[in-house]
Parts: sequence; C-alpha cells; structure tokens
Amino acid sequence: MATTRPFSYNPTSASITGTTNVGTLCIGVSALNYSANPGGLTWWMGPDEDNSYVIAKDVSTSDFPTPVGNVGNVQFWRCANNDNSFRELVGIISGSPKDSVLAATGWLSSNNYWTNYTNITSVTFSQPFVQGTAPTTTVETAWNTFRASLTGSYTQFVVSNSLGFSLTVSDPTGVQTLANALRNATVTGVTINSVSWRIGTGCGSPKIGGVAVEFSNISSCSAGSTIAFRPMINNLNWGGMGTGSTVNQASQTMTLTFS
Amino acid sequence: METYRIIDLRVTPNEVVPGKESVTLEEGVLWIDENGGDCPLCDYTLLINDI
Repeated sequence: MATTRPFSYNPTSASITGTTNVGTLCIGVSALNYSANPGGLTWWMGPDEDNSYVIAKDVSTSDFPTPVGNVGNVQFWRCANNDNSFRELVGIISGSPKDSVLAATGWLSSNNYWTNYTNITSVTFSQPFVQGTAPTTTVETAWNTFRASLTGSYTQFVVSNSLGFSLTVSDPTGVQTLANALRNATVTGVTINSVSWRIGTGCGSPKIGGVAVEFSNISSCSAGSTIAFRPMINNLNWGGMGTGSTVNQASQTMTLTFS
Repeated sequence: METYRIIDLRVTPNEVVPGKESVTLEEGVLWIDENGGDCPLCDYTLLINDI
C-alpha cells in the first residue's frame, strides 16, 4: 500500500488543526477530508513515499502544471531512498552540489522545503535573522532549546543560510567538544582545518535571562567573525555568515546542524 | 569603495562615534574589536553609508 500525505500552499502560515507548516507549505498530518478544503486551502496528494525520499515546496503563484491544468500550488521531487541520490537531488534543486546529507538537509531547512528524509540523528537551530534588528525572545528560546538538545554523539556540523552559503565541518573529536561546550555553556576554542571555532559566554545580556552563549569562528564577541550565532547578544549584531564581518549582515535564515 | 560609520550602541538613540563617520569595513572591524572592551559587539556596530 502506498504511503502518501497531502500538501498545500498556506500563504499566511495560519495554524490549521491536523496539519503542520514549513514556512508557507502546509502538510497534512491527521486524517481529514482534504477534498473539503480544510483551512480554506486546495490540497494535493504527494507522491508515493515507499522506498523513496520525497521533497516538497509550495508554489506561491499556484500555476504549477498538473493533469487538470496549470493550477498546482505545490511541487514535488522524488528519488531512491539512498543518501547519494538524496544529496544529488538537493544539489539539483539548490543549484549547488551538496557534499553531505547534512548540507542537503540544512539547505532544505533554511529554504523551507519539506522532506521525509529522517535517516540521520541531528539537532538543528534554524531561525530568521533580520538585518538591523535584535533577536526576539522566540529566537533566544530556540537557541537554548537547541543547545539543550545536544546530548548525543556528533562528528560534523553544517552552517548554512538562505542566501546560498553552506559549510560542512567534520572532525569527530573537535565537533563533539564544541557540541558539549554549547550544551554546557563552557568557554571553548577548537581548531579544525585551520579554522578556529569558539564557544563564548560573555557577549551581551539575553532578553530571557541566563548565559549569553555564542558560537562563532575566529573569535568570540568579535566583529572579525565571519560566521556567528549570537542570539543572546540582544542587539543587531547577533549573527550571519557568508559575506565577511558579522556586523550588519543581510537578512537571512541561519541554520546550524550537528549530526 | 563602500564606506561605513561606527555606531555607539551604548547610548540611546545610537550615535556615530566622532571621527568614525567614514571608515572601510576592515578599518571598522579592527576599531570595534580594539575599542569595544570585553564585549566589542555589545558596544559598537557598523552601518553602511548611503551613496
């Protein structure tokens, strides 16, 4: 028996009972009568997921070709259920090769794509950075939730954003040291492939209180960092990557995944 | 070349640091790290100047 689920474009990201949202893509979770347009949306069944990895994305213009005309509000991709096929498929969708499954899933997450890929145990922080704006309490809370979840064994992390930047860092010892330091709020420095990665605890005063734990390259609380996650600094310099100094970075969704 | 101004985040409303109305990105980054004390990014930031 085929495994499928329904999808729709949800332009307001409104919460609809029995469904979940990835950005403005809405995915049916509970057994509803989707032909009755729950949430006022038009729903489309996804492809068969048996022995396949499936990726889905909403089409905001609602003109994707379908058997009943150019009216589709979602788009699907499918490949064999192995890591290489999945990486290659995400490389095609994104327009840039993905050198690891983590890089692939990180790109999908940063760009609000849905996938049924679940074969890795990973922990992800992914939040919007708005240029010139201090982080919200939602972002700060998400950061602490992410840190507290780093309880496993990790050999690599991926930093990526929605502007096309992605970096995979692999090192069994160094990555585990950084994950533990993030979880425990311990000042730490690890050099991997000649790049210094830092966990700092003294950069700003969080809106929600607690310790201002940060993750960056080069140096803690430094304008010289070119990759930084500093959601606790409580001002506009809280992060970014890909274009030089991490001050006044462009708006982007920032994603950090340990696996 | 793009120029930046260094903003003092410790005052409200934020003010341009005197003499730092037009610096390069590299000059601004260096100045902030050297003059920001224990929390350089808590004290200062860079904003790009309009053309």
